[in-house]
Amino acid sequence: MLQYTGHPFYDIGVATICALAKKFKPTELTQEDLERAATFIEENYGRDPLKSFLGVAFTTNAWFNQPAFDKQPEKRREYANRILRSFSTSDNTSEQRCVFTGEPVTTAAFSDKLPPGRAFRQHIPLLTGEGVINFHPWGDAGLPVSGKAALCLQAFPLGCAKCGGRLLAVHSDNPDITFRFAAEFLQYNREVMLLAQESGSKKMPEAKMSARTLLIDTFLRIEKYRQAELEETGFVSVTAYHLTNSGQSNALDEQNPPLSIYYLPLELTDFFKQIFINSTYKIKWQEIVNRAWQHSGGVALKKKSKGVNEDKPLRNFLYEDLFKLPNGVLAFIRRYFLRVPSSKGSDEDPRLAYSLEQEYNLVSWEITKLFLRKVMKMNSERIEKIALLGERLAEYIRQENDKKFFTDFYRVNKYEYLRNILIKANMRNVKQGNSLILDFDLYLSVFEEAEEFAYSDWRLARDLVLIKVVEKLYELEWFSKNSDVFTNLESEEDKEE
Amino acid sequence: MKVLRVTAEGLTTSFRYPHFMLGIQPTFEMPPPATIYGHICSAIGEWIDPEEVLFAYHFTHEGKFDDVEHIHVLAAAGGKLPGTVMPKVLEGAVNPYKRTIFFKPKLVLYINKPEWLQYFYSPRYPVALGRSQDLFTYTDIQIVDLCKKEDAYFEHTLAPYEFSMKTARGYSVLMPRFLDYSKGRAPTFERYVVLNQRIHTTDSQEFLKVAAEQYWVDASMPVNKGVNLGLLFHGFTGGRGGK
Repeated sequence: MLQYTGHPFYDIGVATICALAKKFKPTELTQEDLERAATFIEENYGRDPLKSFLGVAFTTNAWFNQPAFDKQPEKRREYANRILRSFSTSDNTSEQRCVFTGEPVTTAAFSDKLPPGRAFRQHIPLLTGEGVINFHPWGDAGLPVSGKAALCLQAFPLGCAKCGGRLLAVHSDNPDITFRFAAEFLQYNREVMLLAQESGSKKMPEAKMSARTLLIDTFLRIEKYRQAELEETGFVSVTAYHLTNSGQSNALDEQNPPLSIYYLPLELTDFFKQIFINSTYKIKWQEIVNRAWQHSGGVALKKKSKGVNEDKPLRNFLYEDLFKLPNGVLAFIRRYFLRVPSSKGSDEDPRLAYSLEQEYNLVSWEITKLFLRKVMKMNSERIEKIALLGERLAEYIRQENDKKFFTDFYRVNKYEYLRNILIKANMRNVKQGNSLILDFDLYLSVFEEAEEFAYSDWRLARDLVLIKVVEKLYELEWFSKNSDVFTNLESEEDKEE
Repeated sequence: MKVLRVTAEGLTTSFRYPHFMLGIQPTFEMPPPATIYGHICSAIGEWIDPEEVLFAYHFTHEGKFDDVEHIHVLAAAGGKLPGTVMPKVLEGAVNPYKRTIFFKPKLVLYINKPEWLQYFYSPRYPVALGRSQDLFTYTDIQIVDLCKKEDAYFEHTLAPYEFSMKTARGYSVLMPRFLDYSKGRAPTFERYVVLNQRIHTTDSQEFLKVAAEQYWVDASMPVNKGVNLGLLFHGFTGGRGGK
């Protein structure tokens, strides 16, 4: 009956209709399922909270929103029939094909002024307004669609989350992921819709998280489930569209643009998959994630005390920062993997309280290594060299109880000083009758060769070595005997951040 | 295999997602095949038969930025132009649009038609990639002899969707593959993988060799880690990778 095509909005619509019918595969859908989806849409889009909210999907000119229909419900019904129930009517004589399905366009015209099967902004989000010729071949206005596509695109916003007053639509090249996102969002939407209808509220509640956080949080829950169910979990790529089609939207609004696209590329989803596979990663990673959630106090509480009852969406700072990569990789690794606190931020920012002294047990070379390999694409040889140097330095610190070296290495903010610190440690180690900590080749491969990194930086190499050092010293229980090493650890660099 | 290699450079370009028409127009990170087809046709001066043509490319740029454009949003209109007896055909308003644009794009395009060399030396229409204002210059045109090798590196290119089974790099995207001008520019779409980083088939951690496979490589391009630049050819019609 239906099938996925790769077009994001259409596919999400298909997935939503599947979820409404409680069927996993679009091929299992029947005419009755489509009819039931159409009925659900007709019954609920015309009343609040969806009526008010879905202006962000279909503008206030949509069939369910048109003030002109308020006094003529029969006209609204007739229009709803055209757009929701034309899936069995197609013009086989027409050369026009639906851009989404390739099937003949519907014979239904979505308005008396329009040719059959032509959709505009009030039918499909982010198209042009009615009659506009821009961006259409030969200026032939409107997007040709089949009746099935019209229904799926009407269903589409039900399978999206409401975040920041916009729709968050999530699509994957793996239909299973697309389906699960749509099903999850649909379930939430139905619950809050019923609650709002019962309480007489016109407002569709927002999702509990910001768009990017919700995207990753939901994806991880879906992947966890799929792993547990031993479902096929090949490489998947996920793309999210955070959009509004509202007439009030402003293309120049930096804070609330009509469209933002977020990618979860294959390398990131593969990183997550590896985290789930390995239970030793999983527990520590979960702890790192848990400590990156926005504090619910701060601004939200201040607003409430002023009588503004506004639930701010929860953000996970780690999730949000993943979207900035590879930019900011130095800060990302320093912050989350080395537990270096932020020096600036609001009361809600949990990273202000990060502390190596309190959290050295969270420093994990294995997670860092996985991140470097999968996400940052650092070559294995260099990773191994960094680990080797970290291992040797940790052994040196333990053996010589060289707290000063640890502090200096952590705080060093000039490259030439770093070299001096390492040379001194090397000399001291040799004087004690031990072998070299590092030779010329090891030094070069750790601090100078960074082919895969767009942003080669000695600080990054230092931080990575430090992660290995900290993990090793924790294993050796050196910190428990030398807790004073953490005093005055803050560097100039941290203050400047 | 002898192929035509054309290097084209410009100041700006962008490749609009076809169904995002409102206010913000993001760009695909790589030129869609339909854009490449149009580009080849503009050099040749006619709509070429897509059946036998295969292409591969390497596309880079020096940055990405958003530009605000004024777009005249127009619809058909009746009546007369103000103060005249001239019929009014269109009317509309100027709207600000935010469009993502690549700075200093460079396309190295490989086409399996070495006999088209002359067309690119003397293109029939102004050389542009993207929209008409995105003018390009051909900085190098030559016939190169590709060879097949078991290993290669791939970067800044479009890979067939099957590549997502072999590597956890890049992301999948649906792109316009071909616009059929004989049917009112009816579009066909295809799913591809955008390879925006370098991957080596020799690196077992980043590339899964499922079977003995050989890739076309351009031995005249820089070698990296002992392997040549690999090329992934696509067709505009037929099965994936063309006929």
